[in-house]
Amino acid sequence: MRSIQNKCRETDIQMDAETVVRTYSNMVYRVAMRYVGNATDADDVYSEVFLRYFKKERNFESEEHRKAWLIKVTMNCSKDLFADRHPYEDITEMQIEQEDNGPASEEIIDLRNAIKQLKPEYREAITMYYIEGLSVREISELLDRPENTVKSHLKRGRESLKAALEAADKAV
Amino acid sequence: MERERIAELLSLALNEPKPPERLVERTCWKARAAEERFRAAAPKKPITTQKSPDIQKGLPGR
Repeated sequence: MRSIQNKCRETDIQMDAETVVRTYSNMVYRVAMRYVGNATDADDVYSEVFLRYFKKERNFESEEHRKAWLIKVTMNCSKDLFADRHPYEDITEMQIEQEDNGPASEEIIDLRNAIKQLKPEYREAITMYYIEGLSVREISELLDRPENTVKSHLKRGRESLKAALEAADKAV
Repeated sequence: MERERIAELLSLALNEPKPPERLVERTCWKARAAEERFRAAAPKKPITTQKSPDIQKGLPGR
């Protein structure tokens, strides 16, 4: 993360602040919910993240850099709020209750339970990689873990989810 | 299985919430205010009288 930031002092890509809010609202809120586990605290984290963004120098060299910065700040704000709790612990159930897009199939519920069973570090890597679309290198920088560790977490996470994913793939 | 397909299934399974609309709108309002402050604080470019490329090259004007 630091290496990217240092590299990016010279240039920035332009996007007005409101467009940034509209583009990254869902992502920031999703990541906050994964760490804090309830809507009230996620609201606070969300507001704080964008407040910090508004105060920040505009020096992003790419959209990936801006996105990574927003995720990092969301993680930090969430951790500040819950300094004594490991991220991703005991929060999946709360997330699931937040939004209801209609009845889920049995296979999707099985997949949901399989995700819940993952070790927190596997779940963190899996959600960053698949849902937020980050690369292994970006995850490694964000989570301050070696790339090989991230790859290993992704591999083990995928292996644990394999059966549930295949069943859901056939059903949906 | 492709990355996009796994992402789709995981999103479906997690069914993660979106921020409340009022929170997004309030933040957008703050964003517009911050944008105005940012523009006001930005150094203004001095007005310069630049000659057209033709004049610079010594060519007759159009």
